[in-house]
Amino acid sequence: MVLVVVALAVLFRASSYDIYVANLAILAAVAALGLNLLTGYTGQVSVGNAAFLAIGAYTAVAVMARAGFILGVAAAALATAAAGFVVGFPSLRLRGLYLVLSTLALQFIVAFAFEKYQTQSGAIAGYTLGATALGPMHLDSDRAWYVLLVVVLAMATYVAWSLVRSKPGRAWIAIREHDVEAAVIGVDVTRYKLLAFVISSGFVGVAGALAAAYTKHVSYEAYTLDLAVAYVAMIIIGGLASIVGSIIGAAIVTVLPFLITNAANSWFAGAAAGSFVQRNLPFINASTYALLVLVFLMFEPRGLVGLPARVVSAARRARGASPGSAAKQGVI
Amino acid sequence: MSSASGLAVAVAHLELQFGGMAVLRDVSFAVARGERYGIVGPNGAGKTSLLNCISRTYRQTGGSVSALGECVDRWRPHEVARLGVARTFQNMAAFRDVSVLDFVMLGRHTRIRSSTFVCALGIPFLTGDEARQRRAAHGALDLVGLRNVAKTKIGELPYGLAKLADLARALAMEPRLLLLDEPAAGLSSDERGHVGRMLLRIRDEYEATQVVIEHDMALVNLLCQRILVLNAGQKIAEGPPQEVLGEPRVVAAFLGGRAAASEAMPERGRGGS
Repeated sequence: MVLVVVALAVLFRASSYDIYVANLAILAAVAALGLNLLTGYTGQVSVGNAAFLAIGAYTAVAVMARAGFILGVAAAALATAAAGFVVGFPSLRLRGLYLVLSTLALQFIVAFAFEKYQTQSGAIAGYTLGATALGPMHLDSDRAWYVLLVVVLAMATYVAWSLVRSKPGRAWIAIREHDVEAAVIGVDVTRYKLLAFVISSGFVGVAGALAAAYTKHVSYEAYTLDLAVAYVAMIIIGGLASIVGSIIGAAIVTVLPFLITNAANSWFAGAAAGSFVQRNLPFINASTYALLVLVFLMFEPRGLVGLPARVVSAARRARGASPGSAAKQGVI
Repeated sequence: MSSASGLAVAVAHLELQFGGMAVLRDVSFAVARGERYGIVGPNGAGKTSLLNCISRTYRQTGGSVSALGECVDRWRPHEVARLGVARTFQNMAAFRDVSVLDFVMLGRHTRIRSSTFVCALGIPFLTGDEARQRRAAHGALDLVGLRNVAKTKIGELPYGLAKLADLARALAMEPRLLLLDEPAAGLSSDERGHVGRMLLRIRDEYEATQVVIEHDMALVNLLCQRILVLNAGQKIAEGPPQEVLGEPRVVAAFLGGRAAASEAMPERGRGGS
């Protein structure tokens, strides 16, 4: 309900530029939701997100012009899910850092492949997509896109929420906690790990396709390792294994650079430090969220959504009752 | 394996080696359906490894294992679970961030039929299927007396209660064969009494075959109709607990010490530890 009110308020009150930023945040949130299913819930760290976004975007480029918007998004979801299935296989053998390296390989393979494809096909400056039509509606403004993207995010949130609270989500959490014990409990670890990769990358692929159609431009150099790492930052800052955290984290990491840029422009306008700050804005942006990630990893691994719980437990400690002792008194 | 079909567990000439070290050597035993069977022996005797061979987290290097009438030698762990074999864990080190209820709901995993697609659309929440599974999980929690900590995280529970939650998780599977790995180990005497009463209740109220590893001989005496004594990976005795526990080589194995162990097994002087 709160989200609906916020969404409507933004729609009617915000400037077109603000809505553009909000749209980017929503697109990031859809991908972050997917990544959190894989990393937060299933415990499989991946830096393949930029590659999955790219696969979604390029599939959209290839399909949307011929088959329309909806089929383009669907094809992107399927193509990325298939890629996720393949990338998931190393996870059956590899853990932790080794798995990160195998997803890193995907990043370089995809970047290389799309760069070659792009230059060979004569589209060195990238591909331009036409205006998007959804049935009779023409998505020709940021506001129209905003409505569509809010609906997509709501659907993605509902699906992610349903998954993590039912059988697949519990199986994923079991794999994250202890894969051998999960198997003994009855979880088919192979199946559910691959399922996590497939569904997660499907989300990311949809985000990639929608972003392509929204920005109307796709080029390989946008899909950098930095971008992949930014998505990991989103779910760490927002909260691993948290649906709401994915959305909050995506919003913060997306909006922060715009805020910093605005602040730099207004505070340092005319000042001597101004030109230095403006020249180094990309570095300042990157190091700001890197710093946020570090702070959260060190002080609140549950991310922003962990903060209320921390306040509650601090209050409880102040009253001198630990949950453990309460539990014990209650039972024996 | 037609002769094994009436058996809950049939282990024949089981061998397990890690590198050059023999963990289990030529272990054979059978557990009838509905029987309560104990596995005892000093630390390092291979008891948990034996259970691991039944639940397939270990793959034996020789011999054969059948569970509930199926030869499971080529099965994977989750397939054994799906057959109706539940297993508790010796120490509850994992799942610390999971609530007790969610953990016990994991026990329902093999019982929930909804496909991932159906789950993704949230349909189990609309049809009441999820609520039904939740009631079953609460039932298991009631049985072990943990209903009022359903929302607590496993890691916040005292050790004894975490082990009870694990037992509830195993019971929630509605198993036909229940493998319990030291259910009373590491507990305070209060908790031990509680778990003991729990196990006796399960013994009386459940049809499930039970195979229990336990060091508390008083508990073993109460719970088990027959026991298997392992020492240094070998079966050294089998039978009703009152008879078996008095046998000199069993006593020697439990008293430990190099002399006693090598006397019990002259061919190889590995004490059990």
